Amino acid sequence: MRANLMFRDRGFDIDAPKAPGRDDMIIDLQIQRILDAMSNGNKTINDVCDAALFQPLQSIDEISYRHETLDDARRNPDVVTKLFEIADEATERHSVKFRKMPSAHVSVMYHNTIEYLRGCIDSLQSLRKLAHRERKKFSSEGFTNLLSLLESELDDDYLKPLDRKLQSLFSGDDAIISADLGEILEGVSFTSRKPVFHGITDNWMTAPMYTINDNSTTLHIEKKEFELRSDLAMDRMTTALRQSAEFVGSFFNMLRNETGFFAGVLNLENKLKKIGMPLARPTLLPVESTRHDWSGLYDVSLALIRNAKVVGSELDTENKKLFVITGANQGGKSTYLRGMGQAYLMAQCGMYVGAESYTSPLRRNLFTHFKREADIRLKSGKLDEELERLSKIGEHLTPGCLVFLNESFSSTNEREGSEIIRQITQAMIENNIEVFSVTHMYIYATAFKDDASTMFLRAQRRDGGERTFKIQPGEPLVTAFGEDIYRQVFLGEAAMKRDADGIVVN
Amino acid sequence: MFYSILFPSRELYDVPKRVAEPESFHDLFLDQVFAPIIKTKPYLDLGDLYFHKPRQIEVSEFRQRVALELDGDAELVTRLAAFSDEVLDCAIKMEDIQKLLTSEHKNEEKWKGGYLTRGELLNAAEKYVGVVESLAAYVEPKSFESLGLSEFREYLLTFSASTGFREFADRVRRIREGLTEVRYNMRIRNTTLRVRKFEGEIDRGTEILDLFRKFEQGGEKQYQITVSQGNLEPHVENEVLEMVARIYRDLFLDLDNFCAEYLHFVDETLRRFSREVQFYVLWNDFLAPMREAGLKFCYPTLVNGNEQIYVKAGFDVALGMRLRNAGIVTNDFELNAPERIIVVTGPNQGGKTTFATSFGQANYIASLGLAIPGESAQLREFDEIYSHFGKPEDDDMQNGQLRDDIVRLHHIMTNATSNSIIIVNEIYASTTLADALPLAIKMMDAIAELGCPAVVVTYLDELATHGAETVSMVFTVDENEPERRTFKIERGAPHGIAFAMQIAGRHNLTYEQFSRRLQAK
Repeated sequence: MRANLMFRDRGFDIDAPKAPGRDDMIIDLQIQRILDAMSNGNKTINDVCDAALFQPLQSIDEISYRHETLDDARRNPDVVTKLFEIADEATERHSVKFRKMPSAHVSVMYHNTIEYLRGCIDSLQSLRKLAHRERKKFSSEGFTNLLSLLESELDDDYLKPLDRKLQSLFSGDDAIISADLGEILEGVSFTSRKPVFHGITDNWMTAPMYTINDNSTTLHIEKKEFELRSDLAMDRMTTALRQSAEFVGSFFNMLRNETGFFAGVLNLENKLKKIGMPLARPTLLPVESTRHDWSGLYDVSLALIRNAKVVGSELDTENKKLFVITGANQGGKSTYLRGMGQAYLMAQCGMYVGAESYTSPLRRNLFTHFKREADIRLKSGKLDEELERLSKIGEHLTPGCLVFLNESFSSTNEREGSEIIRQITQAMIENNIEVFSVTHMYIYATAFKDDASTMFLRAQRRDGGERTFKIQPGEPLVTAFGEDIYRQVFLGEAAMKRDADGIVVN
Repeated sequence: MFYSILFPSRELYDVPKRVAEPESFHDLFLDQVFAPIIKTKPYLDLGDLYFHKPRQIEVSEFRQRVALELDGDAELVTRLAAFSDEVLDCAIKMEDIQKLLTSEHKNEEKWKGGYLTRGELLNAAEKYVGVVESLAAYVEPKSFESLGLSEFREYLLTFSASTGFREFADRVRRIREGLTEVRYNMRIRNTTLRVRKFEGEIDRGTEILDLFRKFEQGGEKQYQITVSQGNLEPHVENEVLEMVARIYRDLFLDLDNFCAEYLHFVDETLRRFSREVQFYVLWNDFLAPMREAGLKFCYPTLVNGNEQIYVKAGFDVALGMRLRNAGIVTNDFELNAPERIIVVTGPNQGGKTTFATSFGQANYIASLGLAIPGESAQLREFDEIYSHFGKPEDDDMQNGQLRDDIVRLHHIMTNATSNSIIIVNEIYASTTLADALPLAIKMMDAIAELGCPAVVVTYLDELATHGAETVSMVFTVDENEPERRTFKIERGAPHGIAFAMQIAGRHNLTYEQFSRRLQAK
């Protein structure tokens, strides 16, 4: 029994390998804030959305299927939430019940498992009732299939006799135990069985028997030995019951994973709506395309943390492979990358994105290589660390990937850093990898000045230096503080006044 | 007549064996290599197989041929390993069983010689029969080139076809077949346990499981309904078996007679073979993951005297075992008379010591008759490897360290012969240059005079040009093999390369390297 809400033709595996750049993206793109807003503190939703965001869909069909299911969820938020809650509660019960069990005695485990299974039957009944009541309100393929399945598979003809059998196991009865001879003739496969009723004469009365001598000093031990055989039979039966619990438990787990993503998306959209930030249904182009056309693209995590409106950016380009972004610190360059990265992840998992409008090509994968402020190692070690991170990214890069570099190789001097990153960038764009590179290294930035497939962007300022946090087309500007310092030191001159872009003000 | 798979004759087998680790093992990381191998079978005490280095090229070559033949036949190795484990296991178990079945037991301990012990004998016997028969059937159509394996095959076939063994095998099978049919029911009430035949009663657990099966998603934890059971107290279990025996009287009588007849069934030669063959099997297991990762091993030609020695694409096997192929640098060396001493100089970046350990390991492992790291090699027979590896610098211990170095060197120079191998790594590293240089030159003089092959790793460039017997080797960046992460060591002087791009190159991130990586996708 499966609910194919996330994919038309298969289940959603939250343990499937995530995008190889995921751990870096969580930090660099501040994804955890978005996950927090989606999950509202529910760990399942967090994990499910984490998995969905980092298993980027590669086909426009799959994305449309998810859009259709999501539209249905937007129309029926209460039913979707309820489905998730029933499944979540049953799954939680499974983990609470079985977490502390390993040490418990077999009969405790046996009775606990039966109790759990009977509880599951209640949850299954609730699902059936909900499906019966609400099915007609849904129109998407995913939800319609799921709700019909619940209605037909979980009817009373199935659930009632099952519950009765469990009840009789719980109270226990006159079981007998079968055994086979093992490798050294020891009893094996102790199995609890229903005795066959033989009529008035009980054949057991004439069977060979072994009786423990009541006066024996080993009475206690021997009685234990008898119990051990019963316990082993019960253990075997408990195994069958645990396996049953595993099956029904994984059904609930599947259901909560399939519904959790939609519950999470609804939570996030509610929050952004409250702040007044727009959401756009993305238009995704084939991976070969180089067209980017968006407006009002913003950093969702920034909007969430500020709980206020934030500035968006525009881009309208085609036929570019490298985007070099320069400009003053604190000018919104990292925010710009974050907004784009979040939009990429959200769009390719079937969500709406934080923008007024958004058209972009599919990308195979996104990788981020950001300067790590927290890293306080020796300079040489830091260069090694940066190279190592980039080399790891290189292992996964294929044509059609997208790479964000943010102040990469600023851990060494500009001459060295520029040369290293220039060679790396050149290799990537020649191999059809799209690169957005934020840098303050002028040598590096201007190395691509004559390249037709490079677009230069710059963090903008108004006259007088006020930041707008907008990123717009603009060539890199040279900043020459060294000359100033030379003059200050050697000639005793006063420092010239410059704005943060390095332009002499007076 | 076959006697041993490690020595070509009984006479060579009977020489006293070295049972303690050779002293150079630690420096050469051979302790890291062999200790875990020996520890995989602690009860067999396999140390002497690897610590004892045969002095005769004849013995090494006898082993090389066996090992080479095993290398070409992975299935044969698997089968010999299984055979060996099973035979040795049987032999050990049978020692206990023999004691139990032949001793007198007090009434309350009569179960010790009871049906469970007989069951153990039956179990050991059927495993033994199984492995002997299956190995014989497997080697029968084969023909072996190595003397060792072909004589063993002959022995095994004769043994397994003998009337005595055939009768034994048939008995074991008949008895087990009968016992497998047995299934009984027990009814336990308070202090009474009754036993009856099984009559097809329904399994209550399976009945429930079938009803829940429709929720299966795939990938659930699968609970194994295992056959093995908890610790049944043997004396109660013996009572149960006595009752089962009353229901199945003839089956159990057969078993009693069988046990009386076959108390000693393990063949001594097969037992010796089983222990010795581990020498090849465990080395094979040890090399397997490295071979799989693409690392190459070879059997060197062994020579006496001053012929050329060389190894192509050698590496440190202790490092290979940890890194597999990731970051393993292979190195070549060759020494043509009058060359005898390799002096390795260069920056302290890791790789120099590895060169020295690889050299020592190759010589030692080659003498055992096993495959060494490399693509091809020729090596000399030797009497002993003497090594001295300087300890990392320790400011408080400068003088102590210097003294240790000198003492150790004295020990080496008094014991080594022209037939030894000397490996010196970073000696005098903790003392001043003014101290170190004259001392080191004296050492070079002594080694040169002794006339044995040697490797000297040092930061003192002057040693590299000591004389006609010295070969200078240094780090170099091999631009043609950018996938190598660290430096290679070759004859010649180091190149100057800009530090940053050199580091980028180590990560395979220069334009050429990175382009090639991306194009490979």
